Amino acid sequence: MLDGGEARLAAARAAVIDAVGEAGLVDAAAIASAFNAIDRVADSTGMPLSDQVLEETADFREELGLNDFLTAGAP
Amino acid sequence: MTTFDYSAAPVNVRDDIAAAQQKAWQAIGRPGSWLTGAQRVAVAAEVRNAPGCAVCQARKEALSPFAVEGEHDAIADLPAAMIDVIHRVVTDPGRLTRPWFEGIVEGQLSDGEYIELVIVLVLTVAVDTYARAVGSPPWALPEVVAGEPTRVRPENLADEGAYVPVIPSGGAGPAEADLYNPFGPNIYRAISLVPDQARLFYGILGAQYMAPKHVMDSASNGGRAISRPQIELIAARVSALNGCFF
Repeated sequence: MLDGGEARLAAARAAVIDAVGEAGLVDAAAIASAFNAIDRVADSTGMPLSDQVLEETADFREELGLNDFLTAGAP
Repeated sequence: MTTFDYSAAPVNVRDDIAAAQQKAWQAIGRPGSWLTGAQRVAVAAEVRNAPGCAVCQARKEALSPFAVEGEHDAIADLPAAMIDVIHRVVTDPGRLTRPWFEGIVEGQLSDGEYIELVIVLVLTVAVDTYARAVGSPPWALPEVVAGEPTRVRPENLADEGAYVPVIPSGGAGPAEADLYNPFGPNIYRAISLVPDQARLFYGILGAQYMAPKHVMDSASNGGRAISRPQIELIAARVSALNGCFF
């Protein structure tokens, strides 16, 4: 997820700090790394979305093409 | 013992993030529920090695990851099934399938071993990704602590459509009564087959994302320095990059 070399990463950090401050970078990095892990929990366990979430997100899942993801068809 | 001191990082990392990561990292070196400390540290090492695997890179580029054959470029002394889980989950998680999982657990790994391996894997991913993101060098692998796994399997498991049974919300036995407090989001339940290890990941999520009570309140940002929409935009972007439908 953090590909592209250290120079590119350093530039990204600087841009985030400019936009939301150092505390914002700390939290943005925390969210990104947490979801880098959460995604792997979801995909490696095949945990389905709840019926409620499927219903509530039906319109924008279709609009954003999310239903084309391979894991959308799980199990 | 590794102490998570982020003072060398270019930014001031929150103490609760460092504390949750340190707790999880040290626990990786100890015997778990189904894996020894040595196996768990080997998993962490292989997680770090997997991105450089030539077979994984070829699979990532192929139309189907199951069309590419070959042996992984592995460094850890782990069974082949564990190596395959680590490499595929690290490098191409969006294309894992139930038939693949069923092949793994059929005579190769138990479902408990599989989930514990996944938990150690994602703890490593979370910690390493965070360190890299804030400009801190990767932490030394945890020290291995000798001993046997507990081999404790929770009661009251249910089939909720995932690859493995889970502890349902409101269905935890006495030993896991604290697990969801009281509601268990899907991601929490997904790894609840190994509750002692799952708690380590819940700690990471509480510190790095937010506690479930805040997650369920769409107006809350959990006290973070960025807004809830910003939080969810980052989460969605990462998930899109990983090809994660969930």
